[in-house]
Amino acid sequence: MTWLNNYLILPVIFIFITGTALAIMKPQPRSMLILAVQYLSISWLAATSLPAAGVAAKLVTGLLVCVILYLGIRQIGNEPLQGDEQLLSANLPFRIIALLIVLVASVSVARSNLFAQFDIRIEASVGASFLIASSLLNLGLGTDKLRIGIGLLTLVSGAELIYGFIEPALALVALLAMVHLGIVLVFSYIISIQIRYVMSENHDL
Amino acid sequence: MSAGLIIFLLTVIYSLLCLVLRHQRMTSAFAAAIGAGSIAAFVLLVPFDEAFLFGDFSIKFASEWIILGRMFSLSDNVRPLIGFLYLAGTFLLPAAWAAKVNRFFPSVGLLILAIVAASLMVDPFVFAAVFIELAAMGAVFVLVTQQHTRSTGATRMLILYTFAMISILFTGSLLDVAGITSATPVLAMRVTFMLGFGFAILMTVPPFHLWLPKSADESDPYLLIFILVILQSAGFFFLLRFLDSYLWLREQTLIFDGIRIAGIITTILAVVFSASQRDIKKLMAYALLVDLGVMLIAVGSGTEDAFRIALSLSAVRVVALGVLALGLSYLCNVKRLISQMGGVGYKMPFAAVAFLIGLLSAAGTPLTAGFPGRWSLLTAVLQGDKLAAGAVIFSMIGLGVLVIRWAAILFGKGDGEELITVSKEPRIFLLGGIILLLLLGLFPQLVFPWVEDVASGLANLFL
Repeated sequence: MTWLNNYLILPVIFIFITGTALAIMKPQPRSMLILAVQYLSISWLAATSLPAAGVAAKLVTGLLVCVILYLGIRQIGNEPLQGDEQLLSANLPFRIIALLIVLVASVSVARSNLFAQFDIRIEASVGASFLIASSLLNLGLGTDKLRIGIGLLTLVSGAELIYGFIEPALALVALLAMVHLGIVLVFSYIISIQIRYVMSENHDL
Repeated sequence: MSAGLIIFLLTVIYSLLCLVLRHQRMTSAFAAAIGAGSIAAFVLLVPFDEAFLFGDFSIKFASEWIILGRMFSLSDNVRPLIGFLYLAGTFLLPAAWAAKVNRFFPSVGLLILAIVAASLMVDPFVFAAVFIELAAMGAVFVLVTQQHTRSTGATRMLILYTFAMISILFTGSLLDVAGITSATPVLAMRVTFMLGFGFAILMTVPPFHLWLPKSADESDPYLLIFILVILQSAGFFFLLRFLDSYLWLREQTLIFDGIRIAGIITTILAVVFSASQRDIKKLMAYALLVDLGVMLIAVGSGTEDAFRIALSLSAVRVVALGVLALGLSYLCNVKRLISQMGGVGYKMPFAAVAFLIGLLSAAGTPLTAGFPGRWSLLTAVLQGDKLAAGAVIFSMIGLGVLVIRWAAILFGKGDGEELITVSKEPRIFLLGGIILLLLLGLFPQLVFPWVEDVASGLANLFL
């Protein structure tokens, strides 16, 4: 598996593409496919710090998260639940410009000595910084619960990627996997409650 | 058998029992209270790591439980803290039936208590941040229900708690891996900032309180109080353990100054905001922040006596806020806005009196449970920090005036409707809570043994 470490630029590129897609696109059930690719890329990068069992656990958790979220939200179809009403300034060109700034900022942060104490590989550092920054963009601009949920998952993934170099223990991987599953269950629950509420309102009308 | 496993099994059994009994609200709520009470008794009374006779049987419970290479330890320094959380559950869970909250609450409430207990047991204790995050996730299931479908406040809470988890995890690692001392000032400053950020979120210090008024608006007040009491207590105990564990932190005057200033700002802002509220539920949210601010001032004073005062304040606030929220839960069923509340006190006298006495206790009025702690704090900080003393006095007077204002509204001229009958059992709850608040005001020494138990467990903080 060590040969994978020779191509670490690939997961970083995948993270850029998936992170951009998740920030630009309206969140919908098919976004889960993009999220799955992102989890795959994160697991690839995590292989530089974690043992094989930890990477496998991370990958399985990520895919499980995507399946649970897909099953939870497939009722809403391809239309966003609440129209994903954005502020006027957060239209598509704004988000593309914001993402470009995020990209530049994350590369700069990764190349700085912010993580100097922890001996983190540059690829993982760039990927994690971009994940955290793009998740902040999603959390800041989104009003749709699904977008916020995806933002939160991405935030934890980014932080986890760096934390793996500090504490590569399997127990922590398991705990953070529980956090991922908890977040996805919470947002599936919130969305299903909203769907039921909207359906009962329509029924009353 | 290990004690941690026993707590886990008891939680699962009682939680499932409450789930099965969810359609019988009273039975379910009392099953949850009995469950929490029995776990509290187990934690506080049963000896660990030594054999004892139970009838004809010799039993020995191990205080340590190892899962995936990590230890959950029920050591003497966390037993009073975990016991307190379960006792708080024993007090708050049965009234869930009287407040007519969501049917799943007793079951989920017990699980939340267990997760917070796990946060206190886990070793290394920095991992507690992850468990508090999991408890916050459980809280979302309590706050957002079929009856209260709006979820903005709960979502904000979860986002903030996630930030706190990440921040505290990194801080703990920096402290362990990078070996921070007073000789590494840049790193020390970074850690101080991250730690402050994480704990400010856990303790709901402004501006990280924004989810609180929103949740008060969207959720049942009684459920919100349960969640806040448990999560804030977890955050507070976590902070004390952090201070107890790291000598470098205790030596930083910046940390204690920061906590004290955060407490002063929280207290003053919360009093001002609560005075400007037109919605009675948001008033409760800000009254709760006032209480928290006073606790932070006590911790920020940095003396052993002040830590003891903070602990006693954290103990009595469970009763005060529980009574306040239960009264409010009934009042909210009628009206919420200040313009609609005139004369509501005549329709629901027990609920109105419970709400007002709970608020009086949060204000620290004499003869209520909140008074002895505030009075002791005032005498402790008056000489050293006039600003902190001023903030405490401001909170007492400000909230006291608010109580008079709301009493005048609730028992003022109304629309002339008849008394709304509250059945006998909820009246017993309301009356019992009021009596307990007054008892704790008259006999504050009732909480002293628990405070001393906690103090003996945090040996570095209480020398």
